[in-house]
Amino acid sequence: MKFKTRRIRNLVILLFVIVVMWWVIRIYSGALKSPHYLTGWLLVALFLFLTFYNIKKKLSVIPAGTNTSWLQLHLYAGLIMIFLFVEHLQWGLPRGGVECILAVQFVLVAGSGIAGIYFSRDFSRRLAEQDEQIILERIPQFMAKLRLDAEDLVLEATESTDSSTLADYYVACLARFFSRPQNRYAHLIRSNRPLFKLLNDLSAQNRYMNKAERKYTGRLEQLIRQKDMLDQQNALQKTLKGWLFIHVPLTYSTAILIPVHIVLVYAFGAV
Amino acid sequence: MKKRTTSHHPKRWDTPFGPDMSEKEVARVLTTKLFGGLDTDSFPQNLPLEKIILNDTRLIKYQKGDIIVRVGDYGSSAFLVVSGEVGVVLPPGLHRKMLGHSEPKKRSIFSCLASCFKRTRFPEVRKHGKPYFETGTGSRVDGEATRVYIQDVESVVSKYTVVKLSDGKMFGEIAALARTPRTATVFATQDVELLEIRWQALRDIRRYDEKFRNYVDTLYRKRNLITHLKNISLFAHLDDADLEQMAKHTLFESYGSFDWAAAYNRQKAKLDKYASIEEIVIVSQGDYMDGLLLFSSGFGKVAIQTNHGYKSLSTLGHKDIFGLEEIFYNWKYGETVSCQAGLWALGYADILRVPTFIIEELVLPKLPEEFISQIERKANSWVKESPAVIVDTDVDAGLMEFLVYHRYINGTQTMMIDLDRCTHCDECVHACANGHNGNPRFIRHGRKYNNKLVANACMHCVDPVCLINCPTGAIHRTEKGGAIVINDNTCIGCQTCAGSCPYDNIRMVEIRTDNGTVVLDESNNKPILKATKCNLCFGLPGGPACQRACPHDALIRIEINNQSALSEWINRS
Repeated sequence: MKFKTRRIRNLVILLFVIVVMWWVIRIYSGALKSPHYLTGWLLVALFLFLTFYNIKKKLSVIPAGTNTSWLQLHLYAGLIMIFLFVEHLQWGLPRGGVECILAVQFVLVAGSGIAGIYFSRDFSRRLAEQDEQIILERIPQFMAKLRLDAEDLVLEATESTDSSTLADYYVACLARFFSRPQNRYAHLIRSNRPLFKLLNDLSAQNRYMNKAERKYTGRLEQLIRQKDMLDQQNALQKTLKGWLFIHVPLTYSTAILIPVHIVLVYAFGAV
Repeated sequence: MKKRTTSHHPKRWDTPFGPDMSEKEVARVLTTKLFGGLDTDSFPQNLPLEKIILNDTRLIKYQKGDIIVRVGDYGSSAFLVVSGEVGVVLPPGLHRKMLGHSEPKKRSIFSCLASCFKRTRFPEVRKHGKPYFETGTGSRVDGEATRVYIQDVESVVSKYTVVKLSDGKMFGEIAALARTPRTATVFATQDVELLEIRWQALRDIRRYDEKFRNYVDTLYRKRNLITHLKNISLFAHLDDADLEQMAKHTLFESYGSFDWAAAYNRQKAKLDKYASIEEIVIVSQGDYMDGLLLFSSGFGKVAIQTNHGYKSLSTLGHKDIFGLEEIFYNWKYGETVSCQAGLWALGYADILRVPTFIIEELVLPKLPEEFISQIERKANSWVKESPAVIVDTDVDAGLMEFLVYHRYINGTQTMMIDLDRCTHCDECVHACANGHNGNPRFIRHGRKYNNKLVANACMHCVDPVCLINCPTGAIHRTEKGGAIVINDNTCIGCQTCAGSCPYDNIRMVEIRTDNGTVVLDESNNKPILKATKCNLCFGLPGGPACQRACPHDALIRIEINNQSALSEWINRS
């Protein structure tokens, strides 16, 4: 099935479910019953279902459907949950300390989830545009090698040309660039500004170099571009993995607060 | 001035098959019934029979009970009994365990669940360090070779149906020439001396000696051809008499080299630079179609001339046919249209050529109506428009060339990753590790073309060159599903399979005990190695865990030659 067809099918089902829920909640309210209990328990059920996805992922060898199907269910159930959450709050703001913390946590979990799916779709494509696919764990090795190559090149330039322009520039501007991952946020927002700045600065050094030295700038420029590519891979791949470190722990912390909220509601009738 | 580097130009017999073969041994072989009857004058001067025997054969001695070939194995040589006697075990044959193969075991849900939580602290932990064989068989080292032997030969002979072959009899020639699995297990019923003849010698002797050619062809016609023809849907409506008539006129042709994998391995360094690699013309565009071509084994590429090169349209493999459109068109409209596309052998291809007059007389007039209209539509477009109109499967032309060029067309379960959707989450790798005692059996890395990556995972090839020459039968094809698996218990770590795999998808690993100590061979203190690779989650319910584990629909195990499935997967977005 094409992705577009699947998306349309799922959105139609989502819309249908939301309309049905909206209608049921209105009927419930019309019968002079508090819809908070209904939406609250539905939220608990959906929350448990969404949390189960993480467990299912870990039990991947069990033949219980593909993780792709489970992720689709997770995404659309998450969207239903956002609707129910807003209904649960009656389209207003939460009252009381616990409710406020719970609501903020929910917003963060939902927000990180939406951001995560955006990263998964957009960053994957951007990584695919690179000539080479580099495994995240190997990036530090490649960076270290590039740094050594750059240092060797600069030393060779100094020795063979009897001039320190390139070496001085390297120490002042490039040593830091080659020493660790750089420009993470620029890469996330597709900005090439830091790279252009470095390359412009390097070419500006040409006016202080003799002819022999200039031969080395081309090779240094190549190394800078390679390092920038590694930085981009590093930034995108770390974000692709990193967003889960917000989404999952916040989910568990929400899981702790939900029973507290339920106990408070039933104990003190805080509706 | 640069110093010139010169080197001896490699020649066919630089490395003889059996280094111990001498003129004296050749003379002895020429006195055997089979070789004594050959006409030495029919061989060209630069390829005399004596030289072929000297360089492309070797004498091997087996002790009583030694297994020589196993049913289901692939091999590239035939055997001639020089002295002694061998036994051919007829179906149902020896138990799989006696052949060194693994017993298929379906794992329970609980066992799968447990594997997700059970973690060994060290990689590649094994209960058994040394290879061990099931009751009834054992292994011994004979020079550089390892022999697996049957312990109680008499009991096997009495319990199973065993046909004995003695001096002058040959076996294994069809499997070697047609690259098909061995159909029976053969073992030494007494101490025996065999002449192992590699496929190059078989090919040349068949080519130059009419008697030998007739002998092999008759055997092939009798054992395989009719069955092969019956399995082709185009001939499904023919009766036995027609099929026999067709078999009588069918010609066997071989293109390229069985050793395509070795040539591919030699050229691998150049592959990424898109250097030209060997592709052999079977039919040129514009040739007269004198017969319908049926693929018996190997691969072919259909291509049409495009400016100064050829554009690949599709690939052909076992049971595929070529040339039907032109033959049909000429028969139907009384025209003499020539071949509209060219056909190349990729590596090697075994072709059955059914002459055009047989197709016109026996097949086309009796074709069912629905078949006729289907072929007519296709033939009209093929001839009047272009072959590209028909075989265009929406697979990007560049990707098609990439898959052909790197021989990924060999894969029945190739792991392809859509990089546009892969988030590098490694769920596939974790799932694989969970299914294999904590050890992933593939690397999420490999060659890429645009946004598609072919990962380093066993492709479970149509032509599994890794199976050739395994001394213990540890690597084999499963009866159900056809996956290529390794029986860890009988693997002796000889690295033959890993060295043969053209795609580097078999890894040799050092095995460890529970406490992490590397297991050493007591005879030389070197680590004991085992060959490991993807086994397609053999025994796990639900199929390969990697594909099921991918949350983003990025990974698929796919048969590359199934172009409609490939096209559907590629064009999802």
